[in-house]
Amino acid sequence: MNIWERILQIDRRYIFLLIGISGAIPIIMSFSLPTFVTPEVRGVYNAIDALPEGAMVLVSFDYEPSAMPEMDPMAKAILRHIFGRGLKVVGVTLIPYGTGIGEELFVAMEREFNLKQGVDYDFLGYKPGYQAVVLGLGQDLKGSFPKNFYEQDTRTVPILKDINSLRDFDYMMWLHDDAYGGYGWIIYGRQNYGIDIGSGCTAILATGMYPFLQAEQVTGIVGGLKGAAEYEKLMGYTGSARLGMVAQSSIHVMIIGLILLGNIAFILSKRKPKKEPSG
Amino acid sequence: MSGKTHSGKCGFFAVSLTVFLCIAMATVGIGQPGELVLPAEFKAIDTPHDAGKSILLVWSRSPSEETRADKGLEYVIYEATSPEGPFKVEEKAIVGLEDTLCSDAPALFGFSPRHKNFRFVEISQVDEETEEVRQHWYRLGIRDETVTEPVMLDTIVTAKARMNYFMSHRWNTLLVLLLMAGLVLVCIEWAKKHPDLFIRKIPGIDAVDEAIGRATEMGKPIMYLTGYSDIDSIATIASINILAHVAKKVAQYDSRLIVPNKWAVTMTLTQEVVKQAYINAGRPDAYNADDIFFIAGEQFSYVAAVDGMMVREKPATNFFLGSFAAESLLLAETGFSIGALQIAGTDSTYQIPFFVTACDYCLIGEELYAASAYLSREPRLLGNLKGQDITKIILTILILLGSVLMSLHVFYPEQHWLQAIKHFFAAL
Amino acid sequence: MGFFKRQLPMIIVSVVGFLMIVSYFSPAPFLQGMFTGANEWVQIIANFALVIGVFSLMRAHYIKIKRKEAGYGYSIVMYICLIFMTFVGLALERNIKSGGVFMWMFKWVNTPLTMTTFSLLAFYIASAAYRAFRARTFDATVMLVGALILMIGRVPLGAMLSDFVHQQITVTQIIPGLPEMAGWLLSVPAMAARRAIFLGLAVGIVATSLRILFGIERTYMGGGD
Repeated sequence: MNIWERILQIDRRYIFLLIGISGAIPIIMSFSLPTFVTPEVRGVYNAIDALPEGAMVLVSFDYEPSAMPEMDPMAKAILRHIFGRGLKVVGVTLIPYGTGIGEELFVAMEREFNLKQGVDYDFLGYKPGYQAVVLGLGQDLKGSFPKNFYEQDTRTVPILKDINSLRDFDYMMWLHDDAYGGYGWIIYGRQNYGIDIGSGCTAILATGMYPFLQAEQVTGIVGGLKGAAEYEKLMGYTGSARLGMVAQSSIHVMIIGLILLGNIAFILSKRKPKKEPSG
Repeated sequence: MSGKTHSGKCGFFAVSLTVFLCIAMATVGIGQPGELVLPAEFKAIDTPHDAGKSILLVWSRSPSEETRADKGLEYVIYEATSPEGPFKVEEKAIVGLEDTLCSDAPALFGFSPRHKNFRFVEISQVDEETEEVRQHWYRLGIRDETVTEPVMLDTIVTAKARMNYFMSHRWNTLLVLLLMAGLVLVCIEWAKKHPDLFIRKIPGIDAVDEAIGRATEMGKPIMYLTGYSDIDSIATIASINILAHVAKKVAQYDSRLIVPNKWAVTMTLTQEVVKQAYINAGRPDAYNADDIFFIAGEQFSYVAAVDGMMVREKPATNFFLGSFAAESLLLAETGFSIGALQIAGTDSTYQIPFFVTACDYCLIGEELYAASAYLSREPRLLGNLKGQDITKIILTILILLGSVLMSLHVFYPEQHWLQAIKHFFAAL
Repeated sequence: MGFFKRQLPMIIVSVVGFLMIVSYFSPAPFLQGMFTGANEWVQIIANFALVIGVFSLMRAHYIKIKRKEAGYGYSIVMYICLIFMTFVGLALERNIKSGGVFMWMFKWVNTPLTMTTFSLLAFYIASAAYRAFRARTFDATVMLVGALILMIGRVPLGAMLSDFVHQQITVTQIIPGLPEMAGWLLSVPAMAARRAIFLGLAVGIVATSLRILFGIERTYMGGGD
């Protein structure tokens, strides 16, 4: 077995080690890279930016804790934009884990913007049923959620006074790490109740959201850490997403290097050895 | 000479037009920001395809929208329980200029271009206290920041909220569904008479026997995962259908089958299916319910447990069939590292590349749904597949035709038949 | 007995399935109520099934501990965690709030654990990519080139690299930058393939649903061959 064949059959733990190092070094050394804003991220930003002060935004926290490193920087940037513009937010979630995530984010925003629950924001919490929940919210919000996450009667919460259906929201931000209910928010929320939706999703899901963007069923897509970094740039601050993008770039370069190395080794290992002159 | 005459005619025409426009503008109020001009039309209609709980108030846009948009122009709806009044302002029915035009709601009004000259508001007819539907009467007013009281339209309108049993805007979906159901039924009948239908080879399914045989020879178990989704997913049902065939083969080969489940409902179902497969194979004694168990509904707890199990049990064959999410590569790479033969199949398009990379065989998309028919060779199931194929051919032709017609529509935007075709395919 | 195991479930599936389809086309309250009711029933049944599932889990780990199988210590950890979290969630904190024990466990135990498992994906992707992306055939080479463009074009480094080349060699400005190329790959060829798969899936789902509703497919009920 020559050196090239050995490279081809390298123990995958060496690859893991190289990836670990290439991810860790930029974070430890705090390098920075410029961020370029794409039209799909601008689509969400502009839609929120165009809302009048006091407009109602529905935010659905449909991601699990495993996606938090990717999704939380995005959620924070978008919520900062929303609350910074004086808009009002009603949170909801289609998955049980979303309650913990939504609650933590609202508490963080409450401290940052001096908000008041029930006046500036409210969190409806979780209800099982995916599409059924979307349909329920579209038909009768207070009937669907008689009590909010804080066990308050939704009919008495000031922010919900004029909110009876999805139609009463000016915009919706769907933060998600999966399609949940076969894209129920888009299929039922957008199609049946005409709510404008912005999608904030994991990078792997972002490619699948493009058909909805082309069909104008979402106003824009904030995809993964990259999208979050772009949103942070639009907001004018450097958060964990922009820092994380340096590590992501470094890992991408390492993977490209490994793929090229693998191909060089593949080609050279196939090369026939020169024939020794006989006799 | 003729040129001069022509020019003179043009001049006379221009002067006449200017005079006419001035009169017209004075009549409707354009250019006179001091007056609010009322809409020319105001009517009430039943909300189409609703459950008889609301009505729509529709009115033509006031010419003042053009001149007084910056002065906070808005429409006010007044409600009364009898035509004689008294009419009171209902807070929900204050309609600003940013609110919907009829042309923005094709599901309610259709696609006519004249709808962009009309506004509407949906008004509930349900009494909040008694929850009964009651008929109301309405008047329309218009106001802006320059007036203290709204200018009122004299017209009083009403409509009865009626129950609509069919959502007429979904007739296109119904038509396609009926067409497809009909095709499937015809193909099933046809397949009963012609049982030797040609079905293209699916290598991943052909490899099932080899995979089970390999595990038997090696004396190692077979691991079968039904995926990330619960039983409400068609992919999970398709996976359980394949499991029945796999379990029967496993029972015949006297091998061991492990089925870790992410959902409790799928666990009970897979237990039942595997048990029945062992009975069908004549080996009920070999069935072990402890090998089909529930792990956790949480995605990565499930992955950690299954990966650990793979490393400990070292199955010879892994089946990953169903819907999968981020766990796909974590499972498939662990399976690869222990040298298992792996057959995957998923309808999750994001995960297909991962399975193609790390597995020996991969069923792509609809192949997963077709696998059960392919394995059983039951004529009725094969007929269903044929119906599916014909539908796809029809859809492909429609896509091609649609592309051509939509390209023509760019050049002939006023052609109504082109518009009609476009709107037929619009999702409402 | 056969009636309760085969015919009755089949009748329930067909009747409920067709009513669900009809409810999509009709706003009639009894149909909409049935649609919502059916969804609630699914949740209720799932919750009862969860009890069976948890017992199944406990039984599987009990057998491991009893037989002292490899890694049975983890089974003991599972029992401790299960009992502790159930106690906290049901007895200690009826209303789960930020700052409580349950949320603390969620934030500082469950979240880091799941994040760690998820992050393994980065390492597995690298090893899978190293193994899979080889220029064995023409098709594989096209895929390899596409993957390289996408990987570099989707990070800021790609844009920097393109800008640098465009500035240094003016004639290259007629070639789109790496981010544009990556965007084109995603929104044109990848999208076309994805839509084709989606179309097949949509037709497949309808056809599979129809054969379940018509009672042609019964394997999932333990029937079949």
